[in-house]
Amino acid sequence: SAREYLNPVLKNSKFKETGVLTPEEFVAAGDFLVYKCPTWSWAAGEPSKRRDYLPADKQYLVTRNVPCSKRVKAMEYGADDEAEDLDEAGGGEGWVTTHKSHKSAGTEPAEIADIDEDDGAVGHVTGAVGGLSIHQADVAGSGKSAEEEVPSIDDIPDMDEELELVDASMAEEDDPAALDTTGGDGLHNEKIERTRTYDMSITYDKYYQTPRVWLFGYDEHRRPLTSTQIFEDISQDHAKKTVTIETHPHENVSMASIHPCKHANVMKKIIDHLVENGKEGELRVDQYLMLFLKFMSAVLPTMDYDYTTSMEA
Amino acid sequence: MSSSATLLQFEPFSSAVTSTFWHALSKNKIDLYKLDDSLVDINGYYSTGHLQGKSGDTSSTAAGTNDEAVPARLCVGDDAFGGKYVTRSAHAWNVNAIMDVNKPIALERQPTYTFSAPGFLKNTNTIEEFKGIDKAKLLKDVSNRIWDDITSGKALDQPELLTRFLLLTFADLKKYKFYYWFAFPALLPPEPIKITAVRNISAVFPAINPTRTTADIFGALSNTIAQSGSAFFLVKQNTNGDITVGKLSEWDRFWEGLNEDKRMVAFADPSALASNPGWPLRNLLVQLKKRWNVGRIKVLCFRETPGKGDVSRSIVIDVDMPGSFGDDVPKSVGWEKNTAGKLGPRLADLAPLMDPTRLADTAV
Repeated sequence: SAREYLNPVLKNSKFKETGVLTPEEFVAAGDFLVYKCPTWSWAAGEPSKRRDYLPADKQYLVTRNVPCSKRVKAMEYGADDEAEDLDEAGGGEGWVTTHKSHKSAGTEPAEIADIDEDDGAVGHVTGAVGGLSIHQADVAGSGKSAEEEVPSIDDIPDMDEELELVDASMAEEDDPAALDTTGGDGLHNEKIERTRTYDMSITYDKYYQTPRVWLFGYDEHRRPLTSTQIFEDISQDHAKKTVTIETHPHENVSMASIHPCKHANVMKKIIDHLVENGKEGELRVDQYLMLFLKFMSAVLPTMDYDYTTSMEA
Repeated sequence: MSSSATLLQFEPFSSAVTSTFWHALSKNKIDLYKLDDSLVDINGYYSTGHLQGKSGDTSSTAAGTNDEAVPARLCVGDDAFGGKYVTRSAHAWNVNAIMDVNKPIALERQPTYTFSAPGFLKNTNTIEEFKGIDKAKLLKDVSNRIWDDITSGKALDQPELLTRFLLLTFADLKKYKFYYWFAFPALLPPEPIKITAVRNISAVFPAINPTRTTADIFGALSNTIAQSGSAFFLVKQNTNGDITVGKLSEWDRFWEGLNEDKRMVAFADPSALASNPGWPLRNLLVQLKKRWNVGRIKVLCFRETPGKGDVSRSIVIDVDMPGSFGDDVPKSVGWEKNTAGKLGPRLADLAPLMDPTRLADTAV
């Protein structure tokens, strides 16, 4: 965007003071993430979209085939105790408390409104981070319990177009050695878990001077998800307020993105919280993305991407 | 588990195309291929099988009580075109741009902890061609190339040639719809292959002395495999407990002084199922049968949770391959089933995410 283009590149480190990153710090934090969680990797993206303040081969971070087996909507609507969890941790007007917005089940992305980055939710996130080893269950609360079943398949798009392409004369050699993985017939006790998957990337947003998350989703049969479907996997409060569909800054495909307007404030609070708890010695800028992804897991509670590490490393 | 001989069944690959691949294909179609529909080399990749939802918790992966195997995905991304990737500025009338077209862009990298599979892209110009093309012949052409590489010995030096695949596409550039059909050709053995035993890796390679734990042994193994980048190899355990890895081409030397019943081949296995190996083993077994007329052999199905050093899903199977190949090229199978579980193509509709007119609706 023009705004991003005109904003000068941040030169001096001030992540502890304001929660923002310089491009160099983004690269350092990205290197650390790739080292700690090798399912993440650097990508060069479209050569024509290269940003000169980042190394050519380290334009953005990407992890692919992130499983997402449940819909956030089902979790949030079902589990009242999740809301209680968050209320306990903080002052009540929960940053990820979502039940208020139940009625507005519309699917159009609204204009960007504020995220209320109240201390409760931030405390909830940093509390878990401070515990050194991170488990996503901390944030997901009881949402991952057994009562939420396999996602519904109501919304499988029309398959007529695929079916009419089937060449009836096309017959292959009989192949009993191929395992039939389509049916769940009691022949095999175990099953192959076909879930939605996401390609998730993190870019550096020069205007907001923070990382920014982008999502491209696929259904159980590897068909691209529509934006409406993607919104089902984002904490409903954020889906309405801070998620937009935009062209990826390094690719020519549109993706869902969590708008970064409040990222620095939230990161600042997380960092302050760590400092207050005497964890300042452990706080290095290269750990920023681990903290950031932990924070993102509150927005994307059912996406099972890797951000697990012990913070002392 | 099962000790009686049963038919060995393989988990088929599940194709996984990234959105950026379709964009790269569109550009190549416009700037490079135009109406040329000859076969193009592309690259795919796969990781080893693992369980889902356990990425952060390696301690529980071995439990096996709640099996949620990740599908054996063969991924094709925007790096699939390697050196043939065209930049947006490349136009036929611009000499410098043409030079750029031929310059490999080394920046597009295959993800870490994956193994490469070379493929052929056949991009047709019309939906009618896509529908009407002789699919049996297409599959046969690719299968024959795999067979040639097996008989010539080329696949012993470049074993990734065993996982060659085929991607048939039609890109409807006006509607941002991409019709596609993968084939993962598997040559058929002279007689059905039997499986006579399945064991977990830790039951096969015990810690030989207290100072060398299985964690050490398997850690060294996964490092060796990661460094080799190869998906197929030979395996034996030394007296100190370490597992030595050799290349397929080292077959005779590697087995020196070893009883025939101790021979073990290994492959990076995209399947995570407890008693079924993944698709790449099929052509490896055909290679062994054709070259050395192997009858019984142990196979290590190597599975590592990517980046976590956890190999506990790995299994060792004993297989029995009766019969021998004659002179004829064996038959082959391998077209992927579609979302309805039938032999047929798939459709990726990217209009909502690539079409500028529809994007305007959601833009801020």
